[in-house]
Amino acid sequence: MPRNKPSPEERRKQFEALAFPHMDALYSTALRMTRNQLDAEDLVQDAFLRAYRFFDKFQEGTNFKAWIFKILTNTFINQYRKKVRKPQQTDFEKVDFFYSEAEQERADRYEMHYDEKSYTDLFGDEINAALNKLSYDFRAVVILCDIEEFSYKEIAAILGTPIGTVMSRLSRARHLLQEYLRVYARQKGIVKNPNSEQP
Amino acid sequence: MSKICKKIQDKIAGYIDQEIEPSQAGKISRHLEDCPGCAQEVSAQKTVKALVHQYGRHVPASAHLRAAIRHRLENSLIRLGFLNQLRDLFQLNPLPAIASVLGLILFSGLATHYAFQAGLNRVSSDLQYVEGRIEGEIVCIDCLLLELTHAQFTHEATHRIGLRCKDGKVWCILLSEKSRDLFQDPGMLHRYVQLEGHLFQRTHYIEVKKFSFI
Repeated sequence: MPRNKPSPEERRKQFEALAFPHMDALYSTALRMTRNQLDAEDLVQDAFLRAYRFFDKFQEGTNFKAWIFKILTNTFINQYRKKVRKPQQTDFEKVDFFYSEAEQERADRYEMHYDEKSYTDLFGDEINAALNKLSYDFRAVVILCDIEEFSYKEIAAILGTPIGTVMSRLSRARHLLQEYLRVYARQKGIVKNPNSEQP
Repeated sequence: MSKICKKIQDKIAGYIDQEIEPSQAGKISRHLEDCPGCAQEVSAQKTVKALVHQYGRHVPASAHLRAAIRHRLENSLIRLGFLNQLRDLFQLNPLPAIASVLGLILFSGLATHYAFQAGLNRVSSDLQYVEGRIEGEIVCIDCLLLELTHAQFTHEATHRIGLRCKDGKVWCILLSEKSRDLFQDPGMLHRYVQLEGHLFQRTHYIEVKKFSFI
């Protein structure tokens, strides 16, 4: 019986051709998730190995980038999220849409790990710091949408949430971001007349 | 702070990213004309999106990381290749493969059974103890190992109590009613005692029946 299954060697070549072009995107996202270079490198390695192991499950013709990002985020949640120091998690669906005092306090108390050079290279300092204040669920949607330019449908598949949730999280995340950035701008004196923001 | 209307607050991102139905988008557009608060929020969120997009560029993965990944992929090839061969074997000719696997299971089962029985006899004879008495210094076994060897392990939170004899042998002390005091009192460390009880010579364990200070 003739069999034209690709040899393991061919399969690896095939995988590398699909996956390696996304290495920088995966690494950058890993860096933003773990906030730490060593953890990010471990995470990317694990994600690649897992993706390769499940390469059979990838359906040709579908979006490979979304597929490998799903593996990256799952690996992160399973293995690394516990390790990364985080502020106490609140139930994000119940987070008040409006910028609360508690949120501000929590953000200020939070020790941020963006002192490593390669990580601060990612963003302008303020945007970087503001994004860091977001909880993982909020940060993830912003990264996937505004940096990696995935569609809502793809983000929903990557994170395993409904599209409606992606949309509401993104709205809330951007709302928080603009509040944070406004605080920075005010501190730096860029916004000189904050009368419209005062209650 | 400006208020954002509840009915659109969760849809603002979808409106900006054009991820909602045109009819819904139209409704929101009309609402924004009448509601300065929401209009302000939408423009602020647009700015945020643009800023994040602008500054959120990629960091190149290091050559070292690339090399490490390539290396690990190449190494996992061997395992994957073996699994594929096994699967191919099953697909090509399932009957002999299944028969041989069953045979292997039966054989290994019997083999372990007899080996285990034989091993059990041997172990139980080794575990026979002698009544005896030893003298020495109460020490922490972990501390001692770390001190004397290049052992690489993390120290237990509490000391693991043992007895170091003059001949250099170290005995582990089994926790029992009689030996509890040795474990619980930190002041016991480095005191010289005489222990009496069952000595398991092969494993260097002592089950203390009586102890006294010397």
